[in-house]
Amino acid sequence: MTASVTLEELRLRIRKLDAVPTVPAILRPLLAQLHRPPEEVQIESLVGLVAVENSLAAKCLQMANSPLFGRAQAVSSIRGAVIALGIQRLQGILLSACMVNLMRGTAGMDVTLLWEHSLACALVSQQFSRRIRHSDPEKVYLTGLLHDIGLILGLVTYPEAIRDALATGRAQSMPLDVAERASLGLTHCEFGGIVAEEWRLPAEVGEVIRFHHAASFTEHSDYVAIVHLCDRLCQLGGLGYGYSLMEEANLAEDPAWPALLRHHPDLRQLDLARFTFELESYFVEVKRMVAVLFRV
Amino acid sequence: MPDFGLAQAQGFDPGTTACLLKIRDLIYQVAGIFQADNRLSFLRDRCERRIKATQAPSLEDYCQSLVGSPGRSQEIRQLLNEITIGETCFFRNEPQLNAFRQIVIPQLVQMKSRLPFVHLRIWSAGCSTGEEPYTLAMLMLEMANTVLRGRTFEILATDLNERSLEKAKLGVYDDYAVRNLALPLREKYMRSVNGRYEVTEAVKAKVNFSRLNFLDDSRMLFMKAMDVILCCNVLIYFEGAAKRRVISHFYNNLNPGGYFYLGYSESLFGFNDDFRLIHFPGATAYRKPEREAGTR
Repeated sequence: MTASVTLEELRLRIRKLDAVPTVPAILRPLLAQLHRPPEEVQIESLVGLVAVENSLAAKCLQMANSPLFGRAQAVSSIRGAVIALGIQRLQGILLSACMVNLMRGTAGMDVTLLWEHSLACALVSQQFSRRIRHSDPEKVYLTGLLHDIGLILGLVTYPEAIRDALATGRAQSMPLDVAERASLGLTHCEFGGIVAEEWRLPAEVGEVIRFHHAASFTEHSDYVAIVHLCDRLCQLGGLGYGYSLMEEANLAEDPAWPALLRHHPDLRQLDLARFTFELESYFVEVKRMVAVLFRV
Repeated sequence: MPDFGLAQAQGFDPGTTACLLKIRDLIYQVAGIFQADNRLSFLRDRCERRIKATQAPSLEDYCQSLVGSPGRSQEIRQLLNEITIGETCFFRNEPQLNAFRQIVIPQLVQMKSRLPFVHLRIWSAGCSTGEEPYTLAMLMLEMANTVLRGRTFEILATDLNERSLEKAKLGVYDDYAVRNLALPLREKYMRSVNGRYEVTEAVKAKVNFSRLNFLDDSRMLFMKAMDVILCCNVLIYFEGAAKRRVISHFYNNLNPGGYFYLGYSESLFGFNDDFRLIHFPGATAYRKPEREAGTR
């Protein structure tokens, strides 16, 4: 077991990341934009951010043309991609891309696994929120995409401990947050919580990052319960962190389910079996697209 | 163009996609078996076979006849035959069997551990030519020195079709049927006979075959005290009240906490509210609530 890490030590390490040359130039202006309501964000400024880096522009174009985002017509310009993806989705993609860039040089985890899991969780959460008539499926998408951002920061700041946790989780079929707690005393939720605070991510995003593995959901917003349930569905569907827990899950008995039911009675009518079967095609497409993005 | 989600990624024109989705939904509503968007090509292929057989002028006409004509029940049955045909083989559904071995059997043994002796009863309902019950027997024999040490088990295998049962009792199969069977298991539990494979006596001894019609209420009442029931791609042949009655028999015949497996992408939604949907890695199943566990 690695020595326990305090939140203050972690905060210091994360602050120092700004001085790391691998932090992409677009991160700061992007974070500044995330603080504004979507209707105040200028499309041209996002186009400018995407255009800074060729690889980023290519990724955005590939994603904008994916059936995952329901495009009927081909998108061939950065501006078209920005409009097709929408402001919240694009901000999420850019932020994820920045995070993944941070991981370069760390050998703790296959970057495609994280992308697959994050993207799948975002899409599943969005679909789920539509089924239960949540008021803002786009924001749900963003929270799903960024829910595990703490894991990336963990891999950058404490690579050895996170690698140990991943290996233990895989070997003992143990949830990652439990393995992390055993390995370094903190979990990716706490790592991500500090990032959300330091970078002033939107409140719902920060809440989901912190509490998506909570034991109780009644005191949190519905975003947390949705992402928690969809995170489990992705892991059960084989899009976890490279391993599946050999567990039996009754999602209707998960504490997130009744918490969500309080504000979303439509959940009672949801055909969860069919929803699960539908996800198969999303998972296939997510894997295909991530493979293209990273040329696996 | 309407938003077809991932269905549009399959490359069909909008008219074809709309027809396939209509047929997919009708099949799910009537039979509870779901074809995800990435399996629409397969569905189209199976529809094409029926279009040839019925001499329907086009997919649109075929779709119309399924949805609108009074004789649709017969034609849906024919289409279902095409969809589920050729699915029988040893170790057919790997995620489902992994869950059986790693989650279900250990869980049942644990539940019964306070009883003076542990005996497990497994029912392969609709066993066809025997591949499924023999697969289960092999899996359980493999556990004889671990989780099933000192425990006993029996596998009941029933089917309506006498000819299938005769073949099952014979236990002789060709290459195609054993294609998923790992070599060590094949060498251990099968012997080669004139270029074919015969299940060994040790495996045969664990399986009891008998003829059973699920609509025969008096005989269904005698299939009591099951721990696991597998009924893959059989319920699709029952409709309405008869289907509900058959499912209710299965429910009543399971011990509390017992498991009910359906086929790949098969659901009970709308047909039964007593079973609980559960998720395993890569598979779903149903479970009878456990509250009376250990009282029998």
